[in-house]
Amino acid sequence: MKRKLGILSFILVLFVSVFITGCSSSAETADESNGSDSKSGGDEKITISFIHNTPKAEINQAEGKAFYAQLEQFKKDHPNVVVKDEGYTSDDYRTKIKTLAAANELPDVYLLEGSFLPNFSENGLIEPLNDTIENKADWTENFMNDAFADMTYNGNIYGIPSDMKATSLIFYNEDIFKEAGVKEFPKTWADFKDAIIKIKDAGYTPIALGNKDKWVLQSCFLSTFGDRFTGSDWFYSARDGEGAKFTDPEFVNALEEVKTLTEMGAFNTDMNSINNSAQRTMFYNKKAAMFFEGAWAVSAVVNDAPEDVLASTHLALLPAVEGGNGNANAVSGGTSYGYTINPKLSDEKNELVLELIEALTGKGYAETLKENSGFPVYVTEEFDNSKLPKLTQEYFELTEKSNFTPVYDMKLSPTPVDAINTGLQEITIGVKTPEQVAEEIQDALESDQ
Amino acid sequence: MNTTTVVDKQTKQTNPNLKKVKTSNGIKRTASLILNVFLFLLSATCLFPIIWVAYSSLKTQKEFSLNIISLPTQFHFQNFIDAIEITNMGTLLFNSTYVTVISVVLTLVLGFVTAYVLSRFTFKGRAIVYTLFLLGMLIPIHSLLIPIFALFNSVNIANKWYTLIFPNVAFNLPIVIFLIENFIRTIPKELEEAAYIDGSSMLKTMFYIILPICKPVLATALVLSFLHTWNEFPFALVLINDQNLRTIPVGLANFTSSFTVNYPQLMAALVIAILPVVIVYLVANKQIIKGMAAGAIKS
Amino acid sequence: MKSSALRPKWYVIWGLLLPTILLYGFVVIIPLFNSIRYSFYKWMGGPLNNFVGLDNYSRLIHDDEFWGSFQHTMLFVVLCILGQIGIGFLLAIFVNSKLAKFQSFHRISIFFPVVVSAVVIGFIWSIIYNKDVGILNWVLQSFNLDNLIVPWLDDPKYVMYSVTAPIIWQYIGLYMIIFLASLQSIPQSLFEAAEIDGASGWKKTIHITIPMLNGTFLVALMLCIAGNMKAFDHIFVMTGGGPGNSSMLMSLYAYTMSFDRMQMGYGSAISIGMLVISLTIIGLSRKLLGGNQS
Repeated sequence: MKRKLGILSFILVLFVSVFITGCSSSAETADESNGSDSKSGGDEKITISFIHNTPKAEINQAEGKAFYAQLEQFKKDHPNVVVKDEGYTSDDYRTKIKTLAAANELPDVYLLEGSFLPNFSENGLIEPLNDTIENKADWTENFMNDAFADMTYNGNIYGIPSDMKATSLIFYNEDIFKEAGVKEFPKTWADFKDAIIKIKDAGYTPIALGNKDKWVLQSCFLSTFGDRFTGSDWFYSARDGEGAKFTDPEFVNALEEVKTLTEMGAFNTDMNSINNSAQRTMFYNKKAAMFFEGAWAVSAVVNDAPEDVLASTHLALLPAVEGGNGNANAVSGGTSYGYTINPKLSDEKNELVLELIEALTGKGYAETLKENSGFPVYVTEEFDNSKLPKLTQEYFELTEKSNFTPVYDMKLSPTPVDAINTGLQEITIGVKTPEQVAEEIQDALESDQ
Repeated sequence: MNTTTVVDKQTKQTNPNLKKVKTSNGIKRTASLILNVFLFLLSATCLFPIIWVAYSSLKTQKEFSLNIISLPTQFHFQNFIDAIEITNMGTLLFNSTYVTVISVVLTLVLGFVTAYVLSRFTFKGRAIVYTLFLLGMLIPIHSLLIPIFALFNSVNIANKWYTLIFPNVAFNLPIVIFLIENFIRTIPKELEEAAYIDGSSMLKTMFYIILPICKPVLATALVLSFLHTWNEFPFALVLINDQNLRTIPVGLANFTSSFTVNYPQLMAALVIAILPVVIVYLVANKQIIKGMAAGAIKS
Repeated sequence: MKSSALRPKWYVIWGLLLPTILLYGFVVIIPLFNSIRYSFYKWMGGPLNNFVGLDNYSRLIHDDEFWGSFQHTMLFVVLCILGQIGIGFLLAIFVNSKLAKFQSFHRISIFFPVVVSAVVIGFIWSIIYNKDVGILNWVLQSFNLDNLIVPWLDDPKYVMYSVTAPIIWQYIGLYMIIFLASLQSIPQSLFEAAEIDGASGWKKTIHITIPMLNGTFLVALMLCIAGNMKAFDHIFVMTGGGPGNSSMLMSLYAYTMSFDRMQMGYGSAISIGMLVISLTIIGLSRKLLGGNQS
């Protein structure tokens, strides 16, 4: 027994001493061995810290393919640069970036959502990139019109986007529509509701909805649908507190229609406990006639849908609303995220980071992305669209004729966004009326200012 | 050593002499049947969901959607191969292992010493110390993410190989101290007094007399802090930036959420996440359960 | 007898406590004080902050959603106490019964879920509850009980119960093992004496077992309250507090405020409020159940 204890205490002492010496020695050598901060080591290697929302597990998806191909290429082209990149899924990414921001420890380059611009710029965490973008015209002049709209706050551009996408498209299965006796995709909201009844009678779920993560109904439906009622001018006026309010009848009417849809049984009953990939699964299994999602789902459908489903899948925009103030051809869309540079960087490093961003948004990225049915901001003239899958081509035709309207979760700050998201769920489960939700959104907006 | 008698007493009582008063045999048989059927059903509900996830992870998406309950017709290991390759499983496993081992050992040493002092001596400030530790059991961890991150950064100990040991030990300590302290209070003080008369010092008494008696409760503490450290997620997410320092829960989180399209793939990721603990449990379940049991009771 | 070892000097005591207090103070107490400090600011993350005094706390008191999450948390904790401790205790008696066969098999399998991480349990149960591929609905259908099928995680009437069930399920084994051990530590002679007096099984349970297990109940209750007041992971994975706020617990609400809405000052105030409530509940239950404890 004594010997055992002796051994035990020896191990303990060993651990404690290893622990203590470990702490002190690595604190001293931190700068050499672990240069995650902006210092460069002895052999002139420059380290760039980079946090992004494309984890390695997504390497086979359209964005992931283009992203990692370009990142690896950049690393190869810059042997003297160490890119310490970390990828997280969106939930984890948000937690991580917010913690880093709160502690003022943001990495050299990272992605920021449009909705955080006011907060970050007021806190001095980001600096305008207007001059940079002008100086790098050979790269940035190839961006689409309005490419920087979502990354602009108070007239300043704070981020460089890589993708530009519509967020609220309707993916529908033509065969199911025909089977239910709906000959073509409805042109008006009233016809759309008729179609829903017919599809339901034919034994299908009219709309597969996976709103567990709360943003789907807002970003992929209400952003466009609300605009049909209110028009975009109303939105900016409401956001900036210049007269319009979320309690205005036109917006409440839009919420009212969400309630109507739910009560009609347009959605699956488990809409609030499955997520957006599960709504696609329902569509793939021919259980549902349509689903609402953004352009990112195009490549997913092209890759994952069974052949017969893919063949009968088409895209549509939300139909016109009688008496609405919005443009019936418009669709909510934008860039959502943009690459942001930490203002603390040295000039030399700043230049390198810009090169990295160019690699991740420029020509090479755009070409790989387009080949994989993605939608880059960078316009590649010589690209032959006819080689793309049919659905992808359909997307280009559809968006060519339309213009992008604001996506709520890109243009509003987090508090009202959360109020809309939660409120929509509350309408669908019937615990709050559209009026109550509208009031809460308005309160959230005002409390934030 | 006189301490063994206490341990003996407990083990003896687990083997009760089975004398009983006879009642009607028929009633007894039905009761026995009902009870055993019920227990088997319950055990099945505890095992089946995890077994179901395990074998479903070997199916293809098509097979799974045709029949959710059937066994796989052939083993489809691709999901696992993908997961192991993409997540860099070797590094994750290594990091999780050393973080867990060091954290658990430190937790037990510090927890034991602290619990001994708190249970045996009355001194000024004892109540405050005790309450502070109690507080630790109740703090919602997410509320400390930002302050802890800020603090660790300011003294330059974030994102190091030893970083995660600090929060793991600190957040394991309260429950470990609570359990050990409760246990030591049930040990008669006479034991130590006798030792002191024999001229034993306090440290010697603590480690040679009390520690061996506390083996069962230390086993409980070990199991709980092992599980907690192995599965710890929020601090591992926030305090570590370097890919090479990531632990299993963070490494797999990326995998799990980008795989939700495909249930069997998601299940494969879940299986990988729990496999190491399940193996440890299958090998050492007797010791784990015994340890769990022995420590938590208080006569 | 008076030995220096039995009543050590103050510096010996504090010397022994020092390493723990240093580590714990550094990792838990200092950040906790910082969190309290944040709760007096309007702070959206980043260097800017605005001292607002007790504003966050007065907002907390008038925040219906916070009190809604408080009610959910209370319901949740009570269900967990009943489920985890209640079922755990009954099971311990069953498994310990002389009639039960394969005792160690039951012990191993019922304890099994305890070793799996909360996040994984959350994922597994969201698949179990799934309308189309979940085994729960499959089982109900196989027994022709289709009318019992409800949208488990979607209906605000049921969602709190649906998200509590997995957490109870996971930890029944832990409490069963704890009770099993203390049951076996009750001197057998007590039962034998009672049997000679003609006491039935239930009488024995009520008059001997339960009083003898008083201390164990208290430990179990403390573990159960402390563990479940701050429950987070399972529900975060299964519903994220939804639909709407119908499964929102206090811990989730604090997280949503801090990390989704970036209102870190108010988020901290919620956490501190929650801590005060938890401490009060623990203190009250200790007073009510075991006044003689420290």
